[in-house]
Amino acid sequence: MSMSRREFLKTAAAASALSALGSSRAFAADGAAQWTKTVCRYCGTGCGLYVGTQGGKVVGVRGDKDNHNRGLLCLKGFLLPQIMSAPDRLLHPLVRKGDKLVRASWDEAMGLVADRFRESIEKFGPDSVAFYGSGQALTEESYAANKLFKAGLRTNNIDGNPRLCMAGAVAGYLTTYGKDEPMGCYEDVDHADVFVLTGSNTAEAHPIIFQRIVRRKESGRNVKVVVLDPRRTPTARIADLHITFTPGTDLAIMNAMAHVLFAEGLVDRDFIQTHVAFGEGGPDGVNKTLADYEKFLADYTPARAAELSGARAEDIVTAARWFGEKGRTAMSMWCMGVNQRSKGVWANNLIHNLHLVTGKIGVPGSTPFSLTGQPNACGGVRDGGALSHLLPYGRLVANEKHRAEMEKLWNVPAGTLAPKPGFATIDMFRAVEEGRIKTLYVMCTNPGQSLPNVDRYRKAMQKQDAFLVVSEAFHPTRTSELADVVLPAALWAEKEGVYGCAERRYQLLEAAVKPAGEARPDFDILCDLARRLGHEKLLPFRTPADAWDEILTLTKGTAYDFTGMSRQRLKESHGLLWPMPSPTHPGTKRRYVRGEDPIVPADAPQRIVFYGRPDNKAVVWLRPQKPAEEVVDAEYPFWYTTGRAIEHWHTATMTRNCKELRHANLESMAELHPQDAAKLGIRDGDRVRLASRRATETFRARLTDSTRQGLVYVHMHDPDHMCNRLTIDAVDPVSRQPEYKICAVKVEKA
Amino acid sequence: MIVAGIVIETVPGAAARVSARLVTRDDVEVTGGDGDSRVAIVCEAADGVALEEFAEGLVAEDEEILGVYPTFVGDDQDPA
Repeated sequence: MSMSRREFLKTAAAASALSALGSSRAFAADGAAQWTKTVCRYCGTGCGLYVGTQGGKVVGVRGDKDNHNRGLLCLKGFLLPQIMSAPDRLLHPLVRKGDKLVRASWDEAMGLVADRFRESIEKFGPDSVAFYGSGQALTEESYAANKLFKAGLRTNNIDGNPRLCMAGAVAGYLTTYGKDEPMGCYEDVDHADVFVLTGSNTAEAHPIIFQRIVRRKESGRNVKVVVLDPRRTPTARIADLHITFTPGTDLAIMNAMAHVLFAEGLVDRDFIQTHVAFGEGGPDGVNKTLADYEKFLADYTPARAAELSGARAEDIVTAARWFGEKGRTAMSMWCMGVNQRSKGVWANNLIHNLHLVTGKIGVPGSTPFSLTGQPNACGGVRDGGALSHLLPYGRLVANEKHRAEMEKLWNVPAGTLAPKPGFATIDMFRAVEEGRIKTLYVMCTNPGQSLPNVDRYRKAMQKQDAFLVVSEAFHPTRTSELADVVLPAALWAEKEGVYGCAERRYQLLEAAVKPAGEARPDFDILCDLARRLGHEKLLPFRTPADAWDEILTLTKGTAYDFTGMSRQRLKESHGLLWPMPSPTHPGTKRRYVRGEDPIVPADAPQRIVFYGRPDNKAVVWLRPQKPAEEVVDAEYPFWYTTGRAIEHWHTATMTRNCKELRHANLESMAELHPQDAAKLGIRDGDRVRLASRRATETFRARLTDSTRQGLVYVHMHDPDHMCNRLTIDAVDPVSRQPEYKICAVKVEKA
Repeated sequence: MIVAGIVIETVPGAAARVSARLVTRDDVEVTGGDGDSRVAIVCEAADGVALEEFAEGLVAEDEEILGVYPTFVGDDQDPA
C-alpha cells in the first residue's frame, strides 16, 4: 500500500497522540523513517523520545510512551529536529587571527589548544588552567574532562554550570541527609495529596512534570496545590493557594509553617525521635535538641512571618495545615527560586525540615524533590564529581582517603590528585579576571551570557593574557564570540552517551545521525586533547561505551552503586534509577527505605535509615530568616528577578533556531505591575531602562498584575537584552551558587 | 505543511465539551480521547509559527483547556 508523506505524517501524528492516551492503536510507520530511542536535549525532566531519521537527517521526534513522560513532550522537545540543521551550526574549527575568528583545520586548532595548555602549565603551574563544563554534556564527556584535568593535568580547577543552578540543592541534601540527590521519584507525584511548589514555575520550566501534577490533581481526592512564589506564574493557575511574598523572605514563611505544625500537633514525634537530629550553623553544629528547635520556632509565628514577608498569615496557616494533615501525603518541589540565592542552602534545609518533622518522607507521595534545570547536571556533573571540590560518586577532593581511592581506581601514582579544591564557577572567572587562570576550556555552555554580573566576566574572558577555548555546536554565541579557539561540537542525536535526570534516572542517548560538517563529539575532542598532552593512557577509550564500563567500576560500593546498569541494559530500558548494584536489581524508586534501597539492610529495625550520616539520622536545621545580599533602597527601589519562559531554554542557543520558538517570546521584556508603571509614566510596550549597581540594560515594558508591586521580572533567554548584566554575583557561602534571583534596580522610561 | 499529533488536557469532565468545540475547526481532526480530561487531535498548520500560534490560542481562548502537549510534529516537505 502506498502512502503519501503527508498521509504518513497524519497517521503517525494520530497514532502518537492516541498512544500517549494509552490507546492500543498501533503506531504506523511506513518504513521510510528509522526511529532511535533517546532523551530530550532540554530540561532536567529527562523525557524519553524517539528521533526519526530519513536520508541521514533528523526529520521528527515522538514521545516514548514507555518512559516516565508517557509519550508526552513539550513543544521545545518536539521542535528538536530544527536545531540539528540550524543555520548557525558551527561546521568547522575557528581560530582567532587578530580581531577575527577564521576557519582552521582540526589539527591546527587542537595543536594551538594543546600548545597553550602546555605553556600555561609549564610557566605558571597546573592551576593556571581550568575547565568549565556543563550539565548538558554527556556523562562520558564530563567524566573524560574530569579525569584529564584532575588526574592528568593535576588541577582541580574543573567546575560547571550546575554550580549556577543546583549547588544549593546539593548542599541542602548533603547537610540534611549526608548524601546528595533526591530520595523520591516522579512516581511520587501520582500519590501526593498536597504539593508545595516553592520558587518553581513548573508549568513553564518543567511542563511535563506540571502535566503530571495536573493529572494527579484531577484524579486524586481533594488534592491541594500550594505555590510559593513572588510572581503569579502560570504554575499558580492550578494552585489552591498562591502565597506571594517579598523576595528573599520565604525562610520566615517556612519556619512559620513549621511553627504551625508544632502548635497544632501535626508533627510526628515518634519519627522525630527515631530519625531526626537537630543542628545550627555549620556541619559540625549538629548539637541542638528538639526543645532548642521548638524554642527557635517560637519566634516565627505566622503573624511575624507575615510582617517580614508581606504574605498573609492565614495563608501560611492554611499551607501548614494542608501539608501536615495526618494521613495525607505531601510532596515539595522547588527549583531556582530557592537555589539561586545567597541563602539557598538554608532555604533547602527548611524545606527538608517540614518533611522531617511530619515524617512525610520515604512513602509514596511524600518526599522533598528538587527539580533540575539541565538534562545531565545530576548524572554527569553532580554524580560524576565534575566539580572543583568533588571526585566521582560522592568522593571529596579534600578527603585524603577518597583521593587515595580514586588514585588506585584510576591507576595513577599516589599523590597525583591535588588535595586542595579548585575554583568554583564565580571564583574561577574571578581568577581569570585576576590573571591567575591563563587558559580556560569551556564546553557546551555559554557563560558569556549566563554568568551573573556578566559584563564583568565578559571583560575577563577578553583579557589579553587569557586564552579561551570554546567547544560549542553553534556560533556565534555570546561566549564563542569571545573565544580564541572555537571547536565545532557534535549535537544531541549526533553522538552517544548517558544522561541522568532529576529522579536519579539514567538513560542512554543513542547516535541517530552523523555529526554535521566537521563537528566531533566532545568525548572525541577531549580524548584528542589528552593524546596531544601526553595523557592518552588516562583516556584510552575508543568509544563512550568504554568509558561507561570504567565509570561502573567507580560506583561499586558507593551510595550511587549502579554497577548493574550495563550499556546493554540501558539500551533495552526506558530509564533506570540508581542505586542498582547488580544486573538483576530493578533499580531504586525511594532511597533510604528498607525493602527498596539495596543499601538499607533487609533486617534494619527501622523502615527508614538515613545512612548518609553516622547516626543514621537526618538533620533539622535551625535557619533564621536572613535577607538577600542586596535589598531595595531609595536609590534602587525595585526588586529584580529573572526566570524562564516555556518557549525557550537557557541562553536560547538552541531554541532561537526553531522558527516558531524564535517567533514566540524570545525578546526579554521587563514585566512591571501596572500601578508601578503608572507612577513612572510607563505604558505597555514603552522602552524602559533598568539599572542595578552593576550595569544598565534597556527592555520593552510589559505591564502585568502577575508581578508584585515593587518587583520587576525579566526572562533569561534573550542574547540581545541580557538580564544578567544586572544580576548580582554574590554567592551562597556554602554552595558557592550565585544569587540570580534577587537584586535591586531602578526603573525609568528610556 | 506541518502536521502535529497533540494531547489536550482539559479540566476534569470537559473533554467532550472541548472536543465539540475543536471539531468545528477546519485545521483540527479529533482522533480520540479518554472521555474525561484528555483529547487527542491531529492539527495541520501552514508552518511552525502557525502551529505555535494555534497552541497558544487554544490555551488562551478556551478556559477549559489546561495544557497542549504535542506528541508528534512533522513537516511534509522532504528533508533537505
